[in-house]
Amino acid sequence: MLLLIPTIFTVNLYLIALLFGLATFSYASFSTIANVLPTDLYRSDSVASVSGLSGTGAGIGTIIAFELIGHLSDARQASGIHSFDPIVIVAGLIPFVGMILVLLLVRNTRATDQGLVRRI
Amino acid sequence: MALAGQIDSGGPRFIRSLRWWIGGILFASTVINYIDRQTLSILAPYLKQDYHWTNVDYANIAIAFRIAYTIGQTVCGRLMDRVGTRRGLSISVTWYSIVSLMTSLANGISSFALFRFLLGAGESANWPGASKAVSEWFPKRERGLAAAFYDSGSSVGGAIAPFLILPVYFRWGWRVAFVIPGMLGFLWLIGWRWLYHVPQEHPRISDAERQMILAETQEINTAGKSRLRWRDLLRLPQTWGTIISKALTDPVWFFVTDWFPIYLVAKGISLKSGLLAVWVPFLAADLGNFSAVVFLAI
Repeated sequence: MLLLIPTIFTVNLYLIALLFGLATFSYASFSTIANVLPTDLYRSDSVASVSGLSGTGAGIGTIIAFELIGHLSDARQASGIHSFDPIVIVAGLIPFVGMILVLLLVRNTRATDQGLVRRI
Repeated sequence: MALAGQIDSGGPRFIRSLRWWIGGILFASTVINYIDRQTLSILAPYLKQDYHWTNVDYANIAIAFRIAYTIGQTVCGRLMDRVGTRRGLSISVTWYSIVSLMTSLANGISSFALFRFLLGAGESANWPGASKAVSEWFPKRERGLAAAFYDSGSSVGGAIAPFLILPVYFRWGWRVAFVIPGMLGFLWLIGWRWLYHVPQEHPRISDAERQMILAETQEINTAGKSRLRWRDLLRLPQTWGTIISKALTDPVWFFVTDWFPIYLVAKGISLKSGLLAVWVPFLAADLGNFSAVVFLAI
């Protein structure tokens, strides 16, 4: 999703579509794995609860992001075609941080040995 | 041994590989869910002009959806675990289809925000519901593909939406454009009520498929004694990893789904000529969903 960043250098529709396409391709492949995490890790009667929690986490992140996008893009209206540049740069970087945190947090732990979480 | 498609001692006909039909209707639900919500994003550049909205105004309307969607996912997730997938998703789709129809009555920021809030509340049940349905119907080795299948509905819905919504808008205006996706929800509901039952009670599942699924479900449900409480779940690092996996990636996807048309217009690109660009990220996301299945299979 880092590929969103170069879009700030172009107004070519096809190039923008290509770069956004590559970014959403990566997002969606990661998203499928993220959607399977609760089903793989938890028992059936907790799956929807954990899936719901992760959706709420996503929502809080999105609300904060939208608030910033609205204010920043209005404040930078004078920059015309570059009004969304800082937004796109941050959007490219954040998922990378997320991926590293997931790799650190989702491992087999003592809870796995106790049968609270399934082994991965 | 009874074969798929044969009559089971006078009972209803079996449906071969029934779980993939279930996967199909979950996919359809996600497609409709996305068409419903994309209607506003696609029309946003035009509504912005008509109603003289700033980007902050639009952000507030989009956030009204997100607030309900955010709270709704946890609430609906728990609710879904209580009332069951069949009833839970029926309520959800009925709710947001009615709201989509009612959005055509909106006449300013407050009413748009109210309808978006209600839409978000209803739509939030889709992912917890679909995850639950997958855990009820699919063995572990197929869950990745099943999740990719239903999740890809978001990309397909997003890709279809501009082609469905913009021509209606150009011909009949934005109010009619909100009615179309609302109607699709009711069509889906008919299929869902007919098709979805848990494997234990499904009248059209073959014995072989039922046994295969139940063996798998039993393995999951004997892993612990009782349902984990909130605080037990929140103590597990795996839960936080799962939350972060969505919290730091979904906002970027929602930037694309909710802001892309406005972003393109800010870049000096008109939506009529930029229809391709609105469509490509969704198509690419669809391919991405299925590419993950390859990773999961390794």
